[in-house]
Amino acid sequence: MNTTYLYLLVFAILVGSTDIEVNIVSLYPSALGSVAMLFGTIALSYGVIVSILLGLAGMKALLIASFYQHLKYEPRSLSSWVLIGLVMASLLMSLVFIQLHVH
Amino acid sequence: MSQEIVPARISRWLFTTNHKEIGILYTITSLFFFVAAGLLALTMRTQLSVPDNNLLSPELYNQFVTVHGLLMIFWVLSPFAFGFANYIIPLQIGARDLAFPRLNAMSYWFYLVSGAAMIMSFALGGAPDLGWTLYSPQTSFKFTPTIGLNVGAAGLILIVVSITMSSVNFLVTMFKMRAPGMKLKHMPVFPWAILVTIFMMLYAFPSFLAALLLLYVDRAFGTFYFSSIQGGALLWDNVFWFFGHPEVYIVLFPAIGLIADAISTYTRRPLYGSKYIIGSMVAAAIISFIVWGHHMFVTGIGLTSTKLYTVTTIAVSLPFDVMVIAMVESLVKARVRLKAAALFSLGAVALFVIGGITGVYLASVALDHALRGTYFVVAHFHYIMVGASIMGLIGGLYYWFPKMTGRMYDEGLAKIHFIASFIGFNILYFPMFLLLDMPRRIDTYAPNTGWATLNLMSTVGGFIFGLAQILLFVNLFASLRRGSPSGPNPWEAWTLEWSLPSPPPAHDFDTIPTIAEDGTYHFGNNPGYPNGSGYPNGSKIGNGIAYSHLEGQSPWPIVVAFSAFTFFLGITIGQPSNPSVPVTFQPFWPLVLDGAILGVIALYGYSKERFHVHEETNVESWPFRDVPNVKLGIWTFLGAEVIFFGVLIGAYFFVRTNSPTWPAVGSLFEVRSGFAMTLVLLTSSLTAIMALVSAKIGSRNGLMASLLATFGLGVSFLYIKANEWIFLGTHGVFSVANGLPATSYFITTGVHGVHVFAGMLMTLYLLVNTVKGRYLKGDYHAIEHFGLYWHFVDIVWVFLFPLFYLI
Repeated sequence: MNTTYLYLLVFAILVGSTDIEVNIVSLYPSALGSVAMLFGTIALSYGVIVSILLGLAGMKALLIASFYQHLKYEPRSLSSWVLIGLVMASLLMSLVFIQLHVH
Repeated sequence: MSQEIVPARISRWLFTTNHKEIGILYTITSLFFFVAAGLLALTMRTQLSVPDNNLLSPELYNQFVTVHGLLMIFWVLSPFAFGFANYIIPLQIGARDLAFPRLNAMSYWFYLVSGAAMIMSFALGGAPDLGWTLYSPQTSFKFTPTIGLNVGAAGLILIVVSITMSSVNFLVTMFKMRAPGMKLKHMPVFPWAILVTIFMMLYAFPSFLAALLLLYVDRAFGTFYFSSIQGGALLWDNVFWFFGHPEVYIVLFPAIGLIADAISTYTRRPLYGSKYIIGSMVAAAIISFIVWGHHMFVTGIGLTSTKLYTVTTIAVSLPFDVMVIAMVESLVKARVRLKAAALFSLGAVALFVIGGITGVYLASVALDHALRGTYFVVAHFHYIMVGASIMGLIGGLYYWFPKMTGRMYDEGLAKIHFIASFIGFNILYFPMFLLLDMPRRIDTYAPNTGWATLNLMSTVGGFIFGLAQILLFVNLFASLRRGSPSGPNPWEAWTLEWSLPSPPPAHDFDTIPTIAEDGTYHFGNNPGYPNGSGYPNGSKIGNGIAYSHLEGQSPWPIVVAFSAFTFFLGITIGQPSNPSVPVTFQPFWPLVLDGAILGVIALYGYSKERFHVHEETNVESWPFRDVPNVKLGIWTFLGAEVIFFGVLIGAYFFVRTNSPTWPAVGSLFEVRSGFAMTLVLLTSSLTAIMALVSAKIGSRNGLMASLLATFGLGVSFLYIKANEWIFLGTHGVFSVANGLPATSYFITTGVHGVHVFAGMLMTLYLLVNTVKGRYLKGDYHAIEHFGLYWHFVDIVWVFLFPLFYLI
């Protein structure tokens, strides 16, 4: 695929997923602990919606890093190098989460 | 012996970018801070030598304790090691300099001015007085209203900037600039130790930088990260010790690497199990990032976490066992030449064993509850920090002094120095193990406590140790002028730096050496060494690659550092020293503006300066063979940025999940506003990538249009953001002092906004050069590098948008 078209396609996906993020907010359950129904059949709790939002953010970040920052085309050593920072940050957050919420 | 005649002008040292001269500057400056921190320590020991002493007031004692700790950890231990690293690592791996010489110079000047800020804090209403851990909430403006802490924090921020620049530089150098045949597995232990150290620095220090930033904003703007119940002490403990525990190994590993190579040299045999030592360092470095909770056993972090950290803490001791066993095994049946460096190395190993074993005690939750906060802990970490690190590094000074100066020191005096230091050290610190019921950081004690004898003994030991260091300075200073010539390889050592004359010429190598397949260098004609064919004649400076110490000079690194110093001083010294006054940001604007203007001029001069870096081809660069140096440097820097923003976002999660209530979606932040900013930034990423496409195909108009669009979108983003800030600040929705939602929002989006602003400055610079016809076709790399940064800033916002506007 022509690179310009590829970049435009990635941009379209980024904008589209942002639009989905904004619209998901309207699905928030009215009270914490209750659930909202998607398409009338799928129950979505607050936690599930937050997970979807963060998942979409992660997907967008992956798209930008892969295609705009060209990590997809760089040597694997470089993408692994970049991943170390993410692993470290995740490690910090995970262990702190355990401290706060797992007793 | 090659000794270039160079003018001893001060400008040579102020503007140098040569790695060896910067190494000497680091070494001398760290020794200056060593003396300063040592004098503080001796004054504290004098205060504690007898009960009920009033030599120091409690306030001054606390300041001395704190600044002593901070100076030793940040301005002595690591910089001392990095003085050697600067001088020696390029020589050991067969490179002519570091990858980014001007950045290296800038690292040094940031280091110097940061230390000046820390020392200046004494004169600015009182230095930090909370212990080097700067525990919260004592650091809050309410409990510590002095501006000295602000200035000290500025010093710490500046040194973290210095360390980050240095980390990026060394990583790129060691990965990308090794001599042909110098595979990673062929590197001596010292470069490996530095490699592992900078890896830890790269990922540990951004956490500290983020913590300092949150602390500073709390103090200057009255935000609530560390003074709230939801954040507070536990948040600080986590972000601080995530950095703080790896920091222990950051200051230790260079000494271990140095000791290992010295043992090999002085036993005249290969180090036993060197690959296990290196593997153990890597393992310890990784585990060091999951042990920080053992510093928090008494904070109520929960049984699961406690068990987890106990296991990881005990686990991290195992790699060190391997290191010690390998070193001891290297000595078995060896004929050790007991030169001063060997004595200091062996002494450091012995002291490290004591310090390490007593550390394992503290991994036990039960013992930790009893021993924490006592002099047992003080003894334990001084056996590591001073016993292993400082003693090992002093050994390094003796080891490389002949290489750095071309002169031998007085061996007899050096041995007396070792004996006095070793005895003084143990008299100083061993009694502290027995003072296991005496709280640390108390300024005096009553006569009936039973602590007087041990304290007096400790003080006597302190003076023996301190006075012994005079022998070091006298010896080295006298030897500079009167020492006998050392020759290239006085120790008959086998690492590459010894193949060069002492001191080496400015360009290091006449011809970049080639390392044989088995890792040997084939130099030297010493008994016991294979393939000796005589030392290279370093006096031959020619074949077009030689350059003098006066080439490659740049005035801009020191100016940039000075401007940053002025700027930070300006924003920290204006704080009122009155706890009853509500916290308001009161910078000293003249200094702030001077620093900012000077900084802009300096960065512009830096970017416009024609500075040529000698780059060798056909060097060893696994695993980044196909990645250019600058690109690897930028990605490495972005890796550190990931941790920095990770900690900021982590702090937000921390206070949010700890808060019983949080404003509902849409009640504070307009979703539409966040949506608009997201679209703007995503579009700017598209225009940034189209700028790269245009540059590659040689379309100047396309490049200009894309960069202009990127700049315009950046302006739009900041405009929307500024409107949102102004609206929230002036319409009573909330103020910055109105709780954690505001605190986390303003700090996180503010830091991101600063990143956007920096990106826009880069865009302007690129635009100016594009008008001049640059960056087209094969010259597109600057556009690509800018894009990597800009897209990263975009990615950060991709996460901030849902976190602040949608959940």
